[in-house]
Amino acid sequence: MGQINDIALVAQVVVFKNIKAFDTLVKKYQSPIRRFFLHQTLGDSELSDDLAQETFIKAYTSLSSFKNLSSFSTWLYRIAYNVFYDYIRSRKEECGLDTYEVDAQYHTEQKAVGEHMDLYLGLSQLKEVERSCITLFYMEDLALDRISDIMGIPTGTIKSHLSRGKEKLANFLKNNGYER
Amino acid sequence: MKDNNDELVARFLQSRCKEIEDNDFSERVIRNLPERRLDISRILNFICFAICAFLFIKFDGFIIIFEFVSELFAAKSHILSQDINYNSLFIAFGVLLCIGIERICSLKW
Repeated sequence: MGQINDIALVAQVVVFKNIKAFDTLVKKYQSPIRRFFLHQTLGDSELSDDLAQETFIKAYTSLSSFKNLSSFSTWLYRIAYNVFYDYIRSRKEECGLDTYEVDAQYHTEQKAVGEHMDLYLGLSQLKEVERSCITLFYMEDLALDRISDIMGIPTGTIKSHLSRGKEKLANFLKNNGYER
Repeated sequence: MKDNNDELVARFLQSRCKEIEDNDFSERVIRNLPERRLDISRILNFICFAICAFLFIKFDGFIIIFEFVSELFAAKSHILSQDINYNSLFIAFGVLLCIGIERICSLKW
């Protein structure tokens, strides 16, 4: 039902340039997309809102290319994933860092205070690709084939990333007294 | 052991998965859509044009332009009539006529 609703809204935006229909789509998906960025950026809310805005604007400008081969949410997540990796690439070029992990650790120390500090500290133990897999699987409750569609890598590779990420995160949690 | 890890990670992450309030985010996105920006630019253009047109009519812009052109024309025609070179005028007219005919003939029908 939700998928049919999404297609109807997309059709209204593409055919009639109905901004209200697009607003409905933004309101519906803003929370999962902003949450996805918030986890990838380890709690940098300003940056994640900017990236989420860029995602929705890209979605709006290329909405006519949405072919309904996957669900609208998968398509939107794929754009979000590409926006995030474009951002990382540009940061690496600007700062000359070999990995984003250094930056990620810096962000964690600087900004991730408050109730989600443990979450961002835990996620900072993971590589970017593992973090994406883990958050999409456990927090956004997406199936492996959808994660594979979003990230553009085979399901087997997703399983490997999930397994490695899970192990690292479990070790972090055990070392910090979360195991009961 | 693996199941324990799975359960531990799932419980930890799911307990921290919260809905994010909109807090004007969607409004910000709509404001920044490319077409919306274009619309605002068109509205600003129209407002500027309307203000200029109003000021032009209010301060008798047409009369000022008409007076200026007629003064200019009167002054120049007086000077031109004194030392006009009819040969040059005839040659210029002939060249322009040739170019015009050539352009008309080169049009594809």
